[in-house]
This record gives sequence, C-alpha cells and structure tokens, in this order.
Amino acid sequence: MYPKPDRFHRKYPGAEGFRPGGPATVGDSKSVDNKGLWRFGPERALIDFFLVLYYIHNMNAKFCLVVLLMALVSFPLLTVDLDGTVVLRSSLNSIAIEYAGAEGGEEMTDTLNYITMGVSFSTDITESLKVGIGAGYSLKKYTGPLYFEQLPLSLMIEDQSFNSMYFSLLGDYRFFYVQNFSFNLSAEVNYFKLFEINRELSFPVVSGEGTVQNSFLTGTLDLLIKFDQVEGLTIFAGPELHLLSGRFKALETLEDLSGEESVTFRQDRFFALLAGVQVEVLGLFEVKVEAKFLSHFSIRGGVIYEF
Amino acid sequence: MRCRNIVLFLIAGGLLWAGPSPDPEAPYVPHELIVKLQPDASPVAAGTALTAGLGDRVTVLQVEPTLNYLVITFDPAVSLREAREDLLRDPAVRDVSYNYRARIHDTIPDDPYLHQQYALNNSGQEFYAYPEDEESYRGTSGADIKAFSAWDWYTGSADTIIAILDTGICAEHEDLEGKVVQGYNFIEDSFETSDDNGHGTFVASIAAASTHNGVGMAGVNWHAKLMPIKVADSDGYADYKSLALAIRYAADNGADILNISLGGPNPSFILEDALENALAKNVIIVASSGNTATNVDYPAAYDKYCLAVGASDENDRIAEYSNYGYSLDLVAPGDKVLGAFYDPRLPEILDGYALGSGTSYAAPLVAGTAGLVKAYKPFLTNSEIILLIKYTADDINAEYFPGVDLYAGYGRLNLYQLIGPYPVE
Repeated sequence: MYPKPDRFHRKYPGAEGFRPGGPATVGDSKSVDNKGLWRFGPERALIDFFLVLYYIHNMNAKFCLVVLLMALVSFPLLTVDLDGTVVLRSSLNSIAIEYAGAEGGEEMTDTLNYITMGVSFSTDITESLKVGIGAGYSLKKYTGPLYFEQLPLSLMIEDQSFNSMYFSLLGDYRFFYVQNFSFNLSAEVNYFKLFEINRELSFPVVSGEGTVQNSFLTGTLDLLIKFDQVEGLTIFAGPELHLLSGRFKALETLEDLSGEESVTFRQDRFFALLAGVQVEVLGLFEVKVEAKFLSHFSIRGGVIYEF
Repeated sequence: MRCRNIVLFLIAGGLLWAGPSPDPEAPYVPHELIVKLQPDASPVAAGTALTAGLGDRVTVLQVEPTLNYLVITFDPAVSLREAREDLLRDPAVRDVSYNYRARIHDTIPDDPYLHQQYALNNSGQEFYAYPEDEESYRGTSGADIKAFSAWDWYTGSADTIIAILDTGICAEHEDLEGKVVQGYNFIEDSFETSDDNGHGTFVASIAAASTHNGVGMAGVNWHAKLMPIKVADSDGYADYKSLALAIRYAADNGADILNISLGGPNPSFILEDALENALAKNVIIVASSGNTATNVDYPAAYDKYCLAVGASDENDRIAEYSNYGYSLDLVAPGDKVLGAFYDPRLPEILDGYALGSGTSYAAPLVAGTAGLVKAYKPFLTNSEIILLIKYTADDINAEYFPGVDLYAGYGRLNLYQLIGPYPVE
C-alpha cells in the first residue's frame, strides 16, 4: 500500500466552486462552454514559469517575483485538477569552494555562505513521481579575497555579498516502499542568477568602470530513506551528491583600455549526508527541517502546503 | 580540581604575553585562544572556573587587563577548534577568537639608505645629501610614487631587461653586482660598457638597484636586469647616430624597457626611425625631458614613441629646471634623489651613494615602473602600459592647472595605482 496517500492527493475543499469554466449547474440560464476558457495545469505552470523568467531578464525582477508568488499561491484557488505542493522554504548554506583561474593558475580556496528564501511548487505526475519549480531570493557572501589581475588595472573583492534571484527545478521519485519505509530519489537544480557590482575608476584625467559579476549553479541528487511510522511525522535521511559550479567575471573599461577576466569555482567535496524531519501541523500544513553535512553545511526549513 | 598544571598569571601592567615562537605564515598564533567574557563576569573568577573546566588541556592562562580578555594557551595536542566550541558553551563566555595574525600592508626592503629615498616613500622624513652633511631636507608626506604599498603586490621579475642608454654602468658597484647583462659601447664600438662618467651608474641604480639585500639603496624594480648601452662619452655627450644605433641595438637584443636620460633640442629622422622600430618590437621607451626649463628635448619630445618624464621634488612641486611642453607625459621625483655614486677617478670606491637632481633621475623611476607593469601584466601591449602609467598619475598641480598640463603632463607617477588592486564593493 502506498503510505498515507491522502497527503499526496489532497484537494482544496470547495475549490471546484471557483473553477473558471467549470461544469454548469442546474438552474443556469445558459450553458458554459469549457473550451477556450482559462485552465490551469502543470503545463500552464511551466509556461508561466518560463514567461516569468523571460520577464525577469527583461523587466523588473522584483515585480516578476511578486507575480510568480501570486500565481503560485493562487493555484489552489483556481484549479481542481491539479494536485500539488507549495513550499515556502529557506536555507542557510556554507560551502568550501576552490577557485581556478581562467588560465589554470594557482588554486585558491574560499568559503561561500548563502541564504535562500523562496517558494516552490510541485505537482504529482504519477503516484511515484513529482516535479516542481521554484524561485526566490538569495543572499550570498564570499569570505576571502579574490583578485582579478588579468585586467589593465587589478580589481579585487573581499568579504563581498552578491544578492540575486534563484530558480529551481525539482524532482522526486519514490522507487520503492515497504511498510513504513519508502525509498526516494530526489534531484534539485538551482540557478543563482547573475548579479554584478560596480566600481567607478576615477583618475584626474580619465575615468572608467570595474565590474564583477557572479553566478552559479548547484545540483543535488539525494537517495532518501523515509520513515513514516507516526501519524504526521516523517523522518528521512540519506546520502547526497552535491555539485556546485560557478563563475566570477570581471570587466574593466578605462577610457580606451578594456579587459575581461573569468574565474571559475567549484566545491572541493561532492558527497554529503542529509537528515531531516517533516511534521504535520494542525492538519493544515507541514513543516520540514533538514540538515546536510560533509561536502557542505546546510540547514533548510520549509512550510509545506499540499492540495 | 584538575588545575594543578595551570599557571594563572594575573598581569597587573599592560604587558602582553609572549606566546610560543610564532610561525609567521600561520593565520593565527598556534595553541592560543582569546576569550571575551560576559559583561558582568569577573575575569579572575571566570578564568579560574574555565581552567577548572578545561582541565589539563590548558598550559597557560592570563588576563589581558587592558582589553579585559582571557588569553588561554592550550597544550599543542589539543584541537583549538574543539576547545573553542567547548568554551563557547560556557554561559560566562561571550565569544572566543583565534589570535589571528596581521601584517603591515607595506613591503619595506632592508636597504640601509632607504630612508634617504623620499621618491619611493615620503613620510616627511629628514634626509641628507651625505651622511655627514649638516644640511638636511624634509619633504611633504605623500609626495612619492607609493612604492612601499605597490611592492606589497609585486616587486619585479629577473626576466625584465631595462636598457640604460647612457655613459655605461659600473657593474662592480656593490648595489649593482649581478644585475648587469651584456650591452654595447657605441662610443668605442665594443662590448666594454664600464662607466667613465658616473651618470649611467646613478641612473641604473634608481631603476633597478639590488633591493632588500641589506646593502645601499633600493631600486624601484627589485629584480630587473640592466643592459648598459654606452652612447655618451666621459663628458656626457652623445651624437644622434650613436643614439639611434643604440636604440635599435637594445630593441633587437631583448630589452623590454629603454631608459634614455639624455637628449637634445633638435629633432631628427634618425632618432624617429629608431624609436619607431623599437616601439614596433613592443619596447617601452622612457626619456627625460631635459633640465633647461624650456621645451622638452628630443627624443623625449617624440610623443608618439616616448614617455617624456619631467622632475618633481620632495614637496610634489615641479622642479624649476624641468623642461615642459605639450609632449611632456608625466613627472616623477627627480630632485635630490638617491643613487649609486661612482666616480671613475676613484674607481676603488664601489659603495658610494649620493643625492642627485635632474630629469635624468626621474626617468629611471618611470622605466623601472614600466618594467614592473610589463612583467606583472604581460598581456598588456607597450602602448597600453604607457597609457596606464599616464592615466594613473597624481595630478600634483591640479590647484593651478587641473588635468593634463604643460608642466606636469598627466601628473606625478603613482606606482601603487598601477599595481595595487581596486576593491569593487
């Protein structure tokens, strides 16, 4: 038996009453044609997500985030044939990283600390498979100094914050379960949007600008064993493959001089151990807390609403 | 109590405890933690309680009275990280820090006459023409090329060759030994390039004397090699044909930088062609503007090919003798600057130093700097380096002539602005 299927297929009570283009009720003066009216589903969510991505690149990022949040929150009110999960989530992460110069120069290490705050939406594709998307805002800080010396005038950053939006793709596949145990394979890819800081280079006769851009991508693949003995409580743990790849790009212009330098970085260890707990609160929503160790340190929390 | 091995030092004065012999490369003092207590905690009582809790892991405990911190030294076998975590769990402890190391941000070489070289770092120090001289000088703090700060980032490469087109170089001078590579003598058409005037030795030492060797003075470029190209005779005169041949020779024989601390008032295609040839070979040509308080001499006046350098003094004023004009690119300290002194009439004196004045001594500061930048950023072309040297100069006469002007060009050389990184935040 599938453990507690209701937690994965709960429907929003009375949601059908809000459904645009829903079935006509007795007493309606005219029938309603469903065709061509507004419908929501996973495919529409995906389209909206990419539309928002497009807008973010071309318009006001914060405005688009609000649109995305509103869209995600309003899904349960507007649909009846969409089962899914909305998670308000945040995390605190610390990862040791290694820099490698563009020309394979001396390797340097640093620590990347970042906090994420965002929302994700997942939907059940099958009984065993969930996919989702997410977005949010991240506060990132690189502790050590980093020098860009392949420019006409050297630039440096130290203890520098780069704050930007991030976007996520999520997947969860339950490939085996027995009694109160289930075995899941979870994957998550996060893209931390490019963020740049600038400095004016001002001299008595000429002026210019130095710019440092940062973006990175993380990917995780978790093998989770979930234990679901007590009503409303799930304990999970397992190994994780964690990958991080990022890049700094420094650009400089000074009158008729210009230069560009890229420095890539990655984490120095790939395997982590993950453990956490998910608790149902008042039968309305769930709270999930998890921690990761070894390759990096991470504490994550989330408030989960399923419909 | 397990504190029998603990020595509790309560220092009444402001003495700092001298810990185990430090490894200067370690990021913090080994085996040592500094504990900040809660505001209401008594250092003595808290220290005693803490040491009792930490047991025989602690070897020394002291109270730093001025800062009101506890300084704890642990047994070398103890993990400082674990000890720190243990301490942080104590309610009397507010914070625990490693005793991190800091270091000055200036790289100061140990050459004994460094204090005489206001051109490299001017703190307003007193300096003399000779050690026994009664007359002393004192400049304005900051009227220098910021070499100390720049050397923190780069001090040069032995692969850089600076050709000194002058009266030759005394390769036996104590601060030039091992620095001189083979050059050429265009006066006698030979490889004999010893200095029969002293000017070339003086100029060469400013550009690249052996530095941080406990001897004599510092060169702006610590490690560059010097190529003596003798084009001027013992009286200091050269002809344009020899100078043109010398420029071609240096460019064709591996010189990265050419320093020409001589010149004349007349232009000539002979010089121009030679300069064009050198520039095409990615050589940077630095020439002094002249000391007659008139228009810039040639070859410095060939703006297209040369960096023309005038002289400033210890107060960041333009030297009154420094030539000026539209082709002047920048100035560098050239008045009362220290250099290696060599008098061919006293050949046995190979450890002499003296102050000299003239645009001749400003140019090698720029030549040494160009050599630093070329080695530090080899991807830059000579034209780009020339632009950067000009762009980053300090506009020392901005009060009267803001921007590029006839008397200081772009301003006074600033080595740190060329080498040091610009924080982006």
